[in-house]
This record gives sequence, structure tokens and C-alpha cells, in this order.
Amino acid sequence: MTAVKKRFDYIDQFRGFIGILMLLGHSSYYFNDLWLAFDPLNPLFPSQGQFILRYIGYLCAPGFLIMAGAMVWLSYQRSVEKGTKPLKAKWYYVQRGLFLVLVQMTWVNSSWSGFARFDPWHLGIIASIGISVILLTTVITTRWYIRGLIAAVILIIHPFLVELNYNVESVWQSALMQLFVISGEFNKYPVLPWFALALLGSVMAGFWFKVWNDSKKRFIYSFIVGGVFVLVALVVRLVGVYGNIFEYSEIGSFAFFADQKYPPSLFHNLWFFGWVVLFVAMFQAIAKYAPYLTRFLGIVGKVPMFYYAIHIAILGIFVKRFDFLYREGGITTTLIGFAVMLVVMMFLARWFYKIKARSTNYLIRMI
Amino acid sequence: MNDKAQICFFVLILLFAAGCTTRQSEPILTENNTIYYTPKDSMQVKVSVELGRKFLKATRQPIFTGQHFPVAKDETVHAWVDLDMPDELSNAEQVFHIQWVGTHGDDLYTKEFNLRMDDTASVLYSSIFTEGREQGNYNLRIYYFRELVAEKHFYLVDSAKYADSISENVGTTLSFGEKYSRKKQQLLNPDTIFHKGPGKWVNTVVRFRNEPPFEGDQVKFKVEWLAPNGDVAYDKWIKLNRGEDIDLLRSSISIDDKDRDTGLYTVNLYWFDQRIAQNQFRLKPQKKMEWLHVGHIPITFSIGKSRKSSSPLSIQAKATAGKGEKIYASIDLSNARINPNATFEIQWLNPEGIVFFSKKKKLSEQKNPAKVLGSISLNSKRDTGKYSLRLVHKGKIIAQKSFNVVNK
Repeated sequence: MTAVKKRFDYIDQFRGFIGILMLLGHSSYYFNDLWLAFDPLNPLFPSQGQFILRYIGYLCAPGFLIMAGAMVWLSYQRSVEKGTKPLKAKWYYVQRGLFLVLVQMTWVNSSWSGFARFDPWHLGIIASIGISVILLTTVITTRWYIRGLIAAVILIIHPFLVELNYNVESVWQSALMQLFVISGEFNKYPVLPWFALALLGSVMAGFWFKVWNDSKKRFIYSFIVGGVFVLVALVVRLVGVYGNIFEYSEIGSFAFFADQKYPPSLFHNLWFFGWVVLFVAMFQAIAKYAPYLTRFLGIVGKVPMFYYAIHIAILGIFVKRFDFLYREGGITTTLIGFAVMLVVMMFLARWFYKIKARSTNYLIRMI
Repeated sequence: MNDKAQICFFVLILLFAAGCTTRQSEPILTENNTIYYTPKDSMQVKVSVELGRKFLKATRQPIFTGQHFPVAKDETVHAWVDLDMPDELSNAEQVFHIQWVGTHGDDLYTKEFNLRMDDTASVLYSSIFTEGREQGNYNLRIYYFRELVAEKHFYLVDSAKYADSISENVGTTLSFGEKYSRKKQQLLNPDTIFHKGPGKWVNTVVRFRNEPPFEGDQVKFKVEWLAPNGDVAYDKWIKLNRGEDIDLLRSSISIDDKDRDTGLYTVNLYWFDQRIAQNQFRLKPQKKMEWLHVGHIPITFSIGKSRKSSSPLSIQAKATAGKGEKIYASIDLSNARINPNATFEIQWLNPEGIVFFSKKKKLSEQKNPAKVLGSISLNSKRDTGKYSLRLVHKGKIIAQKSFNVVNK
């Protein structure tokens, strides 16, 4: 039992890490005047500082999807091992997926504006995670290479699907395309490419939590897998055209790294999958050699849904709705706002985790 | 230890992955006030940015360039971005964005350009209308791929303020004088106060510090003279051909006309529909002429169809206007103390005291140096009232006599 908990710790810490990067990105969204003229679907960067501030957040969505896939696989295995019937275990994840879609359409969508308006008719990252969790239940019992193959097929055909012609005037065609393939007003996080990352997360979970059963193995093999994906991503980027959406001027430039995120290009997904795996390797190594360095991150990583839903609501209400420094500052203001929010969210996450740990309430367990 | 080293390796790779700028982080300010992020190496695209209010249709050359533009209907700010793309660049698509940023840092409009090295276009162009926009500080940003490479601030101002700033920018001066010397190519005795008078003119000469560009082989200006009541007293299009001296841009109006009102006159110089120079002068009533006493000079008038058949008019006599009739004047200089080579001017004044006809005469060229003759027609169009004849020498009156004209 202790060994299992330790594995959870580094996963929690990694989730906490990407949660904090996400807070930094969202602090920028609310405090940084860059966003007055910034189009995330066509990002242009006025300085290196602004590029870093934005690009750091690119790790978050792949990180959350990969972790969601990994945790669904792990929880499912553990439930079944405990004696829960497979169908019942899957039903729990269908409910959880639907709950996430509902949270997206109600709380999350409205919280961006500080609850100034109720805006349920569009989706986002939480809904994409929710739908991916539901889809995962259909393949969670298959062997790892089947799931890996499905992910590969999706990632390979997605660049062609993006090019599909459809009638943009048709609400249903647009909604379907945005639900699964492309990004737009209705949904910036189309399910297919993000579900592929969740599938890859579920594949990695089998190795992290079962096959590579000691720390050294986990580190070395994760390092190799992550490194290979990063290299393959670089090859895709360097060869160009297929798997790329944005052009770049030269290797190492902003444009080279910041390929399209909405929807994610093949390069984007391979690149960040590689980095997520490398980070997980790094976090489990840190957990072994210097656990005190990253322990605090676990506070956030244990309640990621609560953390996500609350930090946007606080920023939405106090910064946007009360118009407190809303997009008035630059990088410094963003960092100060981020630091203040981090302190607040650490306390809130710790408080909620204590409640969640002893609660048997269905809704609280879902959050 | 091995693992710790690998952790350090990861951190370094992460720093690399944060992306590198291909430009210097500290920008320079170019001569035309563009904030320019110079490339770190010569293989990078160079850009230069120009903003203008208009452009020449033939050459698409920007005009009224600068950083101040008027907020008004149909007014536009045009942006031209000259690209200098090194030959070493591959023929891959080169992506540029021109972003117009509002006074509050908000995106007004972003235009994307995708060029290839073999494209002939080397200038990016974009524009925005100014009507309805608030006055203040705006910004134009140029991105090469995802990276800011240049930006230029500009100001939308009230259209009146803009006119002043563009005049200052072109550096046009407009001066006045009664006479212009073609030989010296300059105004003689430049002034801004003039008196009406017979045969008098006000000339204006325009000088440029920065010569406006030609459109094709020609450049056109409009000179507009505004009367004190704001009405256009006179306007004229002046076309100058390439090779002609643009500094010789001149115009003039007569100020001996009885219809010319006194008061403050304004002269505007327009290039396209933009005023690029303005100046004013004050027109005052004709100065009263002084007398020069050179002895007794009798003047006699007679009326008739010819001098020989004409009948003398007494001092109080009233001449009646008849068809083909004339008033003849005879001026006797026999008792005058004057130089025999002197020049005189005979001036005929209408009932309003305005000289309506004048003629210069040199004594030495007269058949009889002691007698100067003059005449005016007397027809039904001539106004009734008190007319005068005066003899002027060296700008002063040496003799004057009046007669009345009445209707038949």
C-alpha cells in the first residue's frame, strides 16, 4: 500500500506542478495587458518574456489529459482488483465524464466572467477531459498496444481531418467539427487529438504503475520514451508541412516551438507528450532524491478539479468583474498576481482536500 | 549522482525549449521614429515602416507621412512595410502580421501576409479608417512569424491640429510682398500690411523645406485667397512639371480693384486636399496722397466728339454722358517748377475716389512739353457723380481738378 501511495505522490506533485503553471497562465490572462491584443488562435509575441509566460502554459492541457488517462486506467484497475464489477467501474467514469461536461457548461463557463453571465453553450478543456474519460471507458480493458495504436491512428489522421471541407454556415456541421476536430467559438478543445493524449496517458500508466516496478527503471524508461517523442516531434517540425500548422522562421525561434494549440498540431501533441513523460520521470526522481522540494505541489495535485474551478472563479470575480487591475499590467503585475493567487489557492486546496478526504458525499467525491 | 546530473540536464533542456528570440531585446529608434528590433544575424529579414495619410496613385509612394493623422470622415492611415529579405532565406513561406493596436492596447485589426522569396511583392500594406476613433496614441506592430520586429506609434488628432502639424512637417512658408523680382527670384520688401492703390498687387511666394514628391511628372497645388468675409476671392491650380523650380511657386492678386474689401486676407496653399501652408495679410484703404507744390498748374476740361469740336466746361459745369462723347483735359505746365525730363502720371478718379484709368507720360516725349493732354470716354455706362483728374509726380499730387457727370 505504501508503495502505491508513493507513486500517487509524484503524480499528484506533477499535477500540482502543471496546475501552478496553469495558474500562471490564467493570471496572465487576467492581469496582463498583452491579452488586450492577443489572439490565442493566432498568437503573436511582443517579447521573449511574454512568449515564455504564454508558452509555459502550453504544457498544462496535454499534462491534464495524459494524467486523466493515466488515472482512469489506474483507478479502473484498482476498482476491479478490489472486486468492483467492470461495468460498474466503467459507469462511474461515464458519470464522472458527464459531471465534468456539466461543470464546464455551468460553473467554468460562467466563472471566466466572474459569473456576470450564464454562458452554457460552449465547451472547453474540462468538457474535453470529460468526454475523453467517457470514451476511455470503451477501450480501458484493451491491451496497451491497442490503445497506443488507436491513439497513433487518431494523431496521424487528425491533420487530414482538419483539412476537411464542411459548411461553416451549418450549425450542426460546425458544432460536430468543433466537438471533435477543429477549434472555434463553440469549442477550442476538440476531443479527438486530446483524447489521443488521454489514451497515451492510459498506456503510460500501465508502465508507470505496473511494468516498471522500481524507481530507476521508471526513470530511465520514461526518459527514453519522453526523449523519443520529443525527437520524433522535432523531426516532424523540421521536415515541415505534415503535422505542422504554423510555419516558422528558424529553429529555436518562437514560431518553431509555438505551433498551433487550437486545435493541437501533430507536432504539438508529440512534443508535449514527450515533455510530460520527461517531467513525470523528473518528478519521480526528485521524489526519490529530494522529496522536500516538490512535496508542496501535491497539495494542488490532489484536488485538481477544485483548484481549476475555484482559481478561475476568484480571478473572474475579483479581477474582471470588480475591474481590479484587469489587463492593466505587464509581466511583473502578472507575477505578483500569480504569487498572491498561489498563496490563496494553496490554503484553499489544503482546506478542501481535508474535507474531501473524510467526506462520503457523491458530489464532493466527484470534485 | 547520475540521476541528479540528468535532472540538471532536463532543466537545461527546458530553458532551451523556452524559445529564443531572433532579435535583439533592446530596440533601436530609427530616423523615422520606428522602434526596430534589429536581427541578431544578417540572415534575418529587415523591415522599415512608413505611415502616411495618402499615397500617389501612379507610384504608390506614401505622402503626408508622419505620426499624426486627422480623425475625420474618409480619412485613412496607411502603413507600408518595406521588406529586405536576404537571398539566403529559403523559398519557404514567410509569414508577416501587421497589427493595429488601439489607445487602450486593444487589437483593432490584424492582417496576415504569406510571402515567398520568389514573390515580387516586397512591401506589405494595410490601412485603417480614422472616422469615429478616439484621439490618442495608437501603435502599429509588425511581426515576422510570431515575433515582434518593429513597432511605430502614431497619434490620431483633431483635424485642425493635424493641418498645423503637416504644415510643420512639409516645412512650407508663404510670404507676401507688393513686388516680386524675377531677376533675384525673391519678393521685394516683404510685408503683411498692404494699402489698396491703382495698379497695385499683392504677390505671394511659397518656399519648401521638404519638397513634396511629384506624381508622375507633375505636382499640383492650389492657391486660395480668402477675403475678410471668408469668401474665396481667387483661387488657382498651379501645375509644376518635373525640372521646374518648385521654389518659384507664386500667385498674386490685384489690390486696386474697387471690389476688393479691406480687412484680413488669408491665403491657403493646398497639396491634394491638404492645406500645407497658410498666412495672412491685412489690406488697408488707399493711402491719401500728399501734395507737392511746384507752382500754379491750371487744368481745363472740354466735352465733345473730338478735341477740336469740343466745348469747354466751366468749373461748375456738369458734363452729360452722350454716345461717342469724351471729356478732354488739358494741363498747363508752363509755370511749373519741374525737371523737363520728369515723368508724370495722369489719374482719373471715379465718384468713389478710385482711380479707374491712369496713364504715364514723360515730358520730354510730349510735342509740347508745357502742355499735357488726356481724355476719357463719356458714355451712358459711366456712373454719375463727381469725377477728378490729378497729375501725380514722384508719388505726390501736383495738380487736381473735378467735374460732375449727370444723366441726360
